[in-house]
Amino acid sequence: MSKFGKMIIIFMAVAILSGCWDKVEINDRAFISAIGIDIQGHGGELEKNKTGYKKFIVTFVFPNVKAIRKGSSGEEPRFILSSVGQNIFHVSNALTTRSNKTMFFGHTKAIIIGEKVARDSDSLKQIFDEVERAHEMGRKVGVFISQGEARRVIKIEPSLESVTGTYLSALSKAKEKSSRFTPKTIADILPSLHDCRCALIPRIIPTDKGIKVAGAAVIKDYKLIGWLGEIENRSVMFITDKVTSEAIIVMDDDVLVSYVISDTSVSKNGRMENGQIVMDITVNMEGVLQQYKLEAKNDVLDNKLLRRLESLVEKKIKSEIDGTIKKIQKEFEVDVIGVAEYLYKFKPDIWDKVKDDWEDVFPEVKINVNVNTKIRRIGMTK
Amino acid sequence: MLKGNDKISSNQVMFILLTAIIGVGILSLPREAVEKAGTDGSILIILGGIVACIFTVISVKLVTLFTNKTIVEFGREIVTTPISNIVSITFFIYYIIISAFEVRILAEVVKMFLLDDTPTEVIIISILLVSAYLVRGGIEGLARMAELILPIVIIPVFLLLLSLIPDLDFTNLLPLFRTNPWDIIKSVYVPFFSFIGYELVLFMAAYVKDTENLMKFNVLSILLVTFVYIVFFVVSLCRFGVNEVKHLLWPILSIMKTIDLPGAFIENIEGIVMGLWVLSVFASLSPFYYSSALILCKLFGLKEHRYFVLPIMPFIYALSLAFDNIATVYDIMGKSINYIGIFTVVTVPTVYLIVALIKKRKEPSDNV
Amino acid sequence: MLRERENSISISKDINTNLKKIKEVLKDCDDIVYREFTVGERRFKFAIVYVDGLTDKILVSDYVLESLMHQARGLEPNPNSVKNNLYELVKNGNIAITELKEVETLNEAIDNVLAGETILLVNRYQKIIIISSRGWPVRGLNEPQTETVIRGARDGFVETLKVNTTLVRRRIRDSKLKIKNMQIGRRSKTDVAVLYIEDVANKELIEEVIKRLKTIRVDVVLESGIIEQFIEDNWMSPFPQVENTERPDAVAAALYEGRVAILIDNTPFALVVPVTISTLLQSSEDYYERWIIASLIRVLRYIASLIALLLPSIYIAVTAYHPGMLPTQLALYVAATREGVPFPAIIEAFIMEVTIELLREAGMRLSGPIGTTIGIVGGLVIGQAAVEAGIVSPMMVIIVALTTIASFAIPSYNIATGFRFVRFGIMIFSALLGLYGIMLALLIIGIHLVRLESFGVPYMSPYVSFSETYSDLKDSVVRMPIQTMKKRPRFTNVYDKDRIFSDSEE
Repeated sequence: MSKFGKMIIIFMAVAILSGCWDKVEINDRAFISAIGIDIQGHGGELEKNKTGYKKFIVTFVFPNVKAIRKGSSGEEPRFILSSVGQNIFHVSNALTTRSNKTMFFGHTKAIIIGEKVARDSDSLKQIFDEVERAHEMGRKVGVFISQGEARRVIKIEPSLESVTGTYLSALSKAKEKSSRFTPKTIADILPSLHDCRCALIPRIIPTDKGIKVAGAAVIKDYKLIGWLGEIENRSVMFITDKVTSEAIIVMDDDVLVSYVISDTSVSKNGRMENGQIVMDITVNMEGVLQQYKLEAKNDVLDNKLLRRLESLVEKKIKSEIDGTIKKIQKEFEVDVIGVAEYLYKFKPDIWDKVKDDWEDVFPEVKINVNVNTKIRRIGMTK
Repeated sequence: MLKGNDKISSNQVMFILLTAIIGVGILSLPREAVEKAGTDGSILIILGGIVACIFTVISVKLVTLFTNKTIVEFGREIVTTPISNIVSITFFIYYIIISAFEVRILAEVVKMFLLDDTPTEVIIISILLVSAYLVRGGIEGLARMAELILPIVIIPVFLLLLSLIPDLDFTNLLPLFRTNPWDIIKSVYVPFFSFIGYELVLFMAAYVKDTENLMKFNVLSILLVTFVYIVFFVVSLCRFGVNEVKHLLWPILSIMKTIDLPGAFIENIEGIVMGLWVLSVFASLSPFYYSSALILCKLFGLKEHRYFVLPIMPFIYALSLAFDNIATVYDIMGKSINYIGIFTVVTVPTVYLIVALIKKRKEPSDNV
Repeated sequence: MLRERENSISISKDINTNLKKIKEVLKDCDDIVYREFTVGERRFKFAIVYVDGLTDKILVSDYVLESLMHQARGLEPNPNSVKNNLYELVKNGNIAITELKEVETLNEAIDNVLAGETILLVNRYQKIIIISSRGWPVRGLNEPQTETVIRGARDGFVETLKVNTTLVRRRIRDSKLKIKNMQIGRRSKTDVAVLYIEDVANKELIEEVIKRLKTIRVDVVLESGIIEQFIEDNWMSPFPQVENTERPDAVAAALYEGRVAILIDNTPFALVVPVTISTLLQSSEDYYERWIIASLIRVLRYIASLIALLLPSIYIAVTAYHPGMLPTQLALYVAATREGVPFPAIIEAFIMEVTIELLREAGMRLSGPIGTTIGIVGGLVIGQAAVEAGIVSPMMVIIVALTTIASFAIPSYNIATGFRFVRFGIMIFSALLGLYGIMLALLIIGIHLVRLESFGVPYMSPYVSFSETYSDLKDSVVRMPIQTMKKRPRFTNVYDKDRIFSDSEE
């Protein structure tokens, strides 16, 4: 045996005798599924403790693995732990006194931020930095802002899947069916925050029957400044070309017409006109006529009728988008529709002129929206 | 017979260079390039590659003038023994620093992603011991290991990057050519230092069977490295956009955390990436470690470099733990590598080549 | 004692003296048969000596005794010529046997007797005729037990060297196929044949093999394994550096690839050198099947090797260190199955691995129905009971079973055992440092493998040093169509490189 071999053996012996620093058996871990963050305090002004830090109430939910095992009924499907502290990991450390398991964030699916927290820019900055810095968490964690307290959302047990985080992540993955909310992960939100200090984060609403994710919270300067409804969220998705499938309902005289979008594309064009920036946004969509009406007086296999229906859809969507843009531009004054990004990438000359006072320029940008709709298929009947 | 004779082919030199150059530098390169040149970072990287190419050509020209000799030996012929020895010692210190830097960054990354509570010392010692095992085996083992590791690392990484394509937003590469050209030229040094390692040929060439192919494969390896760097740069920019890349300590690793393999058996592929990362740092560290042992051996005029392998280890170990946190590691070690690097990888080969050429020209005229 | 044996005992003119000397050397060897007889009216004295059981008695009695004792009488009696040339006459005219030799010392004669030949002593002559009469009970040519194939020849080597060389010769009708005989073992004097195709195999390789065989100083060679251990490059390595096979077609294929085969008497296992990791993961069937299927099976085999090496360690690393790597549902399921298991994953893994190894050994020692019973009792009953008792988790049982099955899917039993051994090392590393430990262990194994050589050929060829042997990659993880493999493998550095000719070259 060479000297070298002996060294390795000695090293191994030392390692075996003192080692396994990181070992935690898988059944000794609590797989935190969702984290809810609220702020302690009553009413308007946020409370600070003696050290000047705000105190958060952090709620963790994790599944009870015993309930997963075959043939085990009567076990509680999930546990909720909650405590007060300065940040997420601070609370998780504090909670080790109340749990026999090591908290593990590698499978965290959702972070739900309470409304009050979101209205405070310091808190939001602190939370996002903590989450981004944490290596354990991963960047695929979904972020939601709850109307009301996050605790309430977590306490509600969804009927379809008892563990909140898993439920939310499954909900986000089934996004193709709806444009009522846009799932956002940390990897989506942080670049947006770094770019324009603004972001849209899906809104989560606790109801009596369960939890509902719809609409979006508008973040500006790391602060919640308002909400977008479901329809408004859809409009934003149209502009940013995120819609994959959506049903639009219009009235043709007294006939209810349902139109399903199967494909959209967006083209943008920006130019300077008389010192004002003009943006043309054209939304092209294709789709299927999903429902008309039996024995209606019109023949669906008629180009004229289809044209009329197309224009009805166009009108409806255009008015929705116009309304949303107005709200975003005039009320919130926040560029969540990517105008700045477009100018920066494709019109760098214009961007150079306006970039320094973009926040003042944005509300004055003239945005023209065009919608083109095509009905490609009408289904199995005439 | 293909008997072990401690000789390698030029082809193998290429593999050693590829693994040596693509080390820890690639982690932070996208961020540094974006900081200096924004979306034009790829131009910056290409320029860096071109500069590295030029110096590679110079180094190869130099070594092909002398067969079967390392720079430690032929340096004595070019610029007298004392000066050459000082240069060799500089090289030695330089390689020790690079090795220490690599293991420290490795330890930091491994600690962050895999082993939170394991002492840094254990991670560093263990990788150094394994590396010493390889280095003691000589250059042939080194070359074969490089040949083995490179495809094992490169193929999965490119497959992973392919799975990222749906998430990439190629408009993030725009606008192009908006950075001041002079600014770009001024910061060419940033990507250039990510090419450090090409000068290993100054030591390896002594063991190469077919020196006539050396030029071809060396230049090829620099081109391949440039290609890899650009791919990584483009991917990180497309995934995150300029501002976010600037914000991330190691953009490449952050990218790997966002990969969502469709229908995969593995949820977070960072474990796999970390495994590949350990392999690639190992393959990057070993040639530097080997060269430092080789320098000592040649300085003392000995035949066996293996006696120096273990004595060097404590120095690398101590140096790698000399700095408290990652900020100082990047600041002090990174900078000292760059400053010494200007001397070792730029000045020395150039000056040596000029002097050698002048001497060569003189000799025939003296005879006439 | 040995010196005494080495002294050559010369043959005297008197047959009785000779017989006496032989009897003295072979004292107490009751299996030796001495038969003295006289021929003709002049009563020439003859004697034959052979070992009972090693010799074909019918051959000796019909064609030696019969012809000498009876047919010789029919010859025209020419006293003078008979008198002077009796030996020549007998040698050339009277023995109807195909193979004859003659020796001039008694030692050689005795060695031949012990090897199964019959010796014929003739009075008044100082030479002894060796009659090739080896004939002992030979096992029939059965299908090899350890290397069964779906498609391919069904004959396997047997314990008799002559039969084995014949089996190879039948497949290579080439004058360049050389069979060099030698004897190894000071006491056992085992016949060893070195086979190679002269203008294909590299000369240095042949010389190296013969050199290494000649330097073996051992008194007994009972099986090829003993020779294998003497000639391998690194006897500290867990990986075999010599291939063994029972299949004559595998040997012939290896010879055509420019490798050298060593056949040893008394064992059906032939040795083939040099080997590389890729040749050890090949099976002769790969070349008989169509290339797509063969390639798929190859890929499967490499996956099996990885599973056999790594699966338990990955399980340990993932459950004890990095549960974040598993999909959430799976992680929760694994956690649920481990709920209540009292041991850490590494201990659990070791318990199960050791159990499986025990079962394997027990099953191997017991043949037939008992072996199957052991398998059922061990695999099903113990596994089930252990899980129900909560000592091990069901996941661990699946992992260990999968590992064992994978290790059986590797064609070379030798390398599979190597993997088995290495697997435990990796498990310890992974229990210490998780995934990082696995990577370190793999690096150590990798370094060992790249430095390992088999008769000067890099063990990891064609995956390393491929500037010279890159064309061998066609026959590595995948097997390319036979049409594309125009050249012989390069790793053995063959002389005659072409395997497929165009018409003009014929």
